[in-house]
Amino acid sequence: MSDPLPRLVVSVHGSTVTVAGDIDAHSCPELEAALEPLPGAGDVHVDLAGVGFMDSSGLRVLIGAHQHAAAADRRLVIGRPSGSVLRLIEVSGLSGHLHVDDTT
Amino acid sequence: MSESGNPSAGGHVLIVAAEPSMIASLRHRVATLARASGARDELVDDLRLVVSELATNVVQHTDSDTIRMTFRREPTRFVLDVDDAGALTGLEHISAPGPDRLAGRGLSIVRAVMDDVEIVDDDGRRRLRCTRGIS
Repeated sequence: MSDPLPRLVVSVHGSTVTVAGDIDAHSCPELEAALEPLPGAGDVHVDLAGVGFMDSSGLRVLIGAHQHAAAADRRLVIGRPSGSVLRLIEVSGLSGHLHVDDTT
Repeated sequence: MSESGNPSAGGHVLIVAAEPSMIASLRHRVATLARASGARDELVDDLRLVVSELATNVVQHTDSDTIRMTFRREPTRFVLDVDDAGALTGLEHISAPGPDRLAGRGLSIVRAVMDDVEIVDDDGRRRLRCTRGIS
């Protein structure tokens, strides 16, 4: 039987990382691999428009990358998060800490 | 996945192997049951998050071979029980970690999105019980 659940698809172009699927403890190593080391130069954009679900496993990866970026004088920008991902960031108390860009 | 019971009568029991690859199945199944039981979209999203965090705790922090959850709709609230959800001593000590902490956020997230989170003893089985009122 084929797996009917969405798998995580991570693609990297320059310093933009585009993610689609669900991010959890099972799938987050794929995101981690794309962000460690940080890709490209300048700000790293993680486009989450295709992510319908994320839990604290994904948050752990993003916080780690955020810290690596800050240490290198770069920024990790989380782009186009869904409502449920925004809520996760909010209830975790990280709204004022992570850079979130939901304008595009 | 092994399933039995009814969400509106005693509870629907779900049992899966305690493996990371099974967490998504559990999440999707509880979301489907919750929707069928009348939960609104926001609550369905929150339950998916709670299931994922608690299942991850069982996989990462216990020796259990299985993850066992029970989902139930009562007249005034939704109830999700999980057996052996990690080292459950002293829930009162769980607080949101600072922004620089990488891990250990699961239970504080669960507490933030549910109305009540408590440890219950049910016939010698230790469970974490999460409830959310029906508005």
